[in-house]
Amino acid sequence: MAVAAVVITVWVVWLDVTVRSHFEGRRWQVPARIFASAPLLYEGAPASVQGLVRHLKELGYRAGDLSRPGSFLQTGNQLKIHLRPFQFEDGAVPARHVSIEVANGAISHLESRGPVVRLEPLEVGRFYPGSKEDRILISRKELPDVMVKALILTEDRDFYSHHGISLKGIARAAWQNLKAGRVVQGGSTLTQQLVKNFYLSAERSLWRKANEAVMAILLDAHYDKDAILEAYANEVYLGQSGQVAIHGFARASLFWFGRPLRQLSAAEQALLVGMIRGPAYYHPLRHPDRARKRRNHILALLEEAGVLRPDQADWARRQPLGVTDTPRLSANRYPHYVEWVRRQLLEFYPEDVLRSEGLRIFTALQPELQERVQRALDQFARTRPGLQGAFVLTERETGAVAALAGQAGTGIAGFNRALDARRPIGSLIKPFILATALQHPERYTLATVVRDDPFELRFENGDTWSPENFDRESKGPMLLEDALVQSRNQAMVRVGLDVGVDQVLNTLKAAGHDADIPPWPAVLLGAVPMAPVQVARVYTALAAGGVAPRLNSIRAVTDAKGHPLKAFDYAPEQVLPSQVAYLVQTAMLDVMQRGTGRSVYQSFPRDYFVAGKTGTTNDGRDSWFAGYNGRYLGVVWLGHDDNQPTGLTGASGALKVWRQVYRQLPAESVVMAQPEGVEWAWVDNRTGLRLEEGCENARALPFLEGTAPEEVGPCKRGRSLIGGWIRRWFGGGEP
Amino acid sequence: MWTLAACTAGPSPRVDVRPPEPATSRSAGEAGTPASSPRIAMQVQRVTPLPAARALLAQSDAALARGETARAWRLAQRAQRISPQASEVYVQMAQIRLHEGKVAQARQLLTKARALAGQDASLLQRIRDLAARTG
Repeated sequence: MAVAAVVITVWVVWLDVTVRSHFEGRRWQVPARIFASAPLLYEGAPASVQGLVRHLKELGYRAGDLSRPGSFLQTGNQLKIHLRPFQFEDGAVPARHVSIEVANGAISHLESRGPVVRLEPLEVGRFYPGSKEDRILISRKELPDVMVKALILTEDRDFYSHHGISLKGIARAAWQNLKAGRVVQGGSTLTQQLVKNFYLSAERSLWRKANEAVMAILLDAHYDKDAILEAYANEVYLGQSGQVAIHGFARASLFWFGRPLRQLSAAEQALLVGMIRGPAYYHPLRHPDRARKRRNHILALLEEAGVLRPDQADWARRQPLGVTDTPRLSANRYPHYVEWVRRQLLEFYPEDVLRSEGLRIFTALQPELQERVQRALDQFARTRPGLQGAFVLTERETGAVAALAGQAGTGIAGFNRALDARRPIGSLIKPFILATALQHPERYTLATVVRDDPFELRFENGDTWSPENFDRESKGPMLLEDALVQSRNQAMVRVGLDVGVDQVLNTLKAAGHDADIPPWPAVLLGAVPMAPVQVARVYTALAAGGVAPRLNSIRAVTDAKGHPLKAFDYAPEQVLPSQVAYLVQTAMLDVMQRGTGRSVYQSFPRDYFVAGKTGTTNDGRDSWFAGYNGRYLGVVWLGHDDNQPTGLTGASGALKVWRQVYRQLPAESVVMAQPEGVEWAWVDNRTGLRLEEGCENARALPFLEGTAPEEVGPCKRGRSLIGGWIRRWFGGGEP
Repeated sequence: MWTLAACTAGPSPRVDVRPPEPATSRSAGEAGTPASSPRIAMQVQRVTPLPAARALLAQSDAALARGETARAWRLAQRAQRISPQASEVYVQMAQIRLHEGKVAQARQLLTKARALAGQDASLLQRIRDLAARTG
């Protein structure tokens, strides 16, 4: 007898320890919250009323009445907002009123306390920085009222009065089951269900039942009802996607409806509660009729209990199920972006910081751009089976990553190609060959004549190598600038070999590429495997004029008390002389104006200056484009995961996706302020000899000071009245 | 003649990487002339800060004068988001770093500022003055 008492005591104590440690562990973990970039409102900021309203609605702002914070009023192109208080990375900002007018795609008038208003950023994800688990947790406060009532009515009417188990509930269930002649109701309380989900296996045995009951009683004794309810709401099983189980109302809401919990209607909340009984049986896509019947049953309970008025319940019953056709697995709306945030956190923040709770992570993500980028990729890949892609969009001067997409097509977020697909970059290497050559001004200027002719490299072991051009032709002598603009392999490889493959790799390394690559000649044709995000990094060096920041997804992180942790401060470094970067950028503008990227001007006005470079690898296995306007740098990669040919070139693939995104961005031109130490001169298009302005065969090119050609060539005149006029018009008499 | 003695790694993998599409069928010379000209207009341009960015820079300056460098920096960064191509933003950032004694960073920021200053003589002078303080 005494032995039995000891055994039972030990058993109960052991269960108690298990219950408490596990529950505490789960319960007190406050997830890190991830915020998108806070939009800045100021006069001149690109904006649309629809875009702003969408943003406010996503934040849960209500339309119509401005009396409370969190509301807005739209009349035509005017928007008045009563902003909620918000804890930004640099402190709390109180509620305040703002009034905006939008005209021609920009804010034309702003009434506020200061010249710039920060809008509350969207929350785009939550995670436990310390774990791999991808969950979204919500607090008791965030559970919608109707949902809580539906849950208690359906699953455990005595929740607030029982002590973990409910004899009344068991009796009621037994009676109902007897009446129906089958099991229609379970007698488990919410607490028991939670215990079952939390600690126990799915085996059905008396032993397990006993454990469950004791643990439920212990849990109830230790914690208040709201804490248990909160844990339940975060733990409840609500569906399956392949290997991954969908737990918790918040995640299920995103999974099934594509919207956060707080945006769900009563009918949608009722459906989720109804599905607890059997997420597979009541699968709203596979068995919509069952699901609807179940939902309407829950709505009836709500009506009966007076939670919903009859008219509200009627209306709710008439609603469609509202689930999305393509349930989204990830707890985060932008899983690939968030993945990078997580990696950068691990890289730049000490682990103990990441383990602290309640972090707030302020990122550079711009959801609107992220969605455009994803849409453009999806659209392009839709008609091409198996085609994959990635897109990285950064602010070219600040290095802030505005969008990052690692796959084409909706569906389960898998392989993040933007970060992890290392593919040869093809002709994207050429601006770096040019940048290397131009650092030897005694040998190379943009006007140096180079030879686009076949040649053969003979290696010591007798092997030979002779690069060809894409069109299998050779164009003979041409200006170095044109070799880049027209992406001539033979010419650029000759230049690269002359300055040294290792030197070209050094330029790439200075620009931020960190891999060790042997200096094979094939490097000069882009046999350098890089992930899109790495390409974005090295192109930032060019696009930011040689003084470049590192790429970052995180603007700031604050702890639970709102104190900033180490910030990601802008700290540019000179990686290329500004003058050389200026020359290379000039050539990259010409790539777009008249070279391999010129097809963008089918949809862009001629005076919208963008710069870039196309890249294609053998048989179109990789289609690349890296290009920028005044504000954003975008890198696109398209290809097959199994490296099969795509039949695409950089221009017919990646560039089209890039253009699709950029035509929706404000047309902000690249403006290249000419740095000191650069001079312009007119030179002959073919010979590179010095000409005076107004010659038909002349072109203006920038040179490092003192390196413009001195020898004067013959000037062709005549037939050039108009050309000369245009040149004078644009040139203002300046060489 | 193109034998590469330095290339001891042996034969390179035959990666035949090509440019994206046949280049223009016209010769380089014919294609070039008109397109070059608008660029010349660009050389004299530079981006000046939008009024909102200017206002933030003024606030940043005021914060710096009060010794609130962290706040000054945040305001300058916000100005950078608005007018990232404006030299003044980087001048202000450099001033803040100088104030904090972070000379190396200030020097980099001034390089950036100089690259974006175009031919603006007074701005260039200001950058030179600040650069002199970085030693």
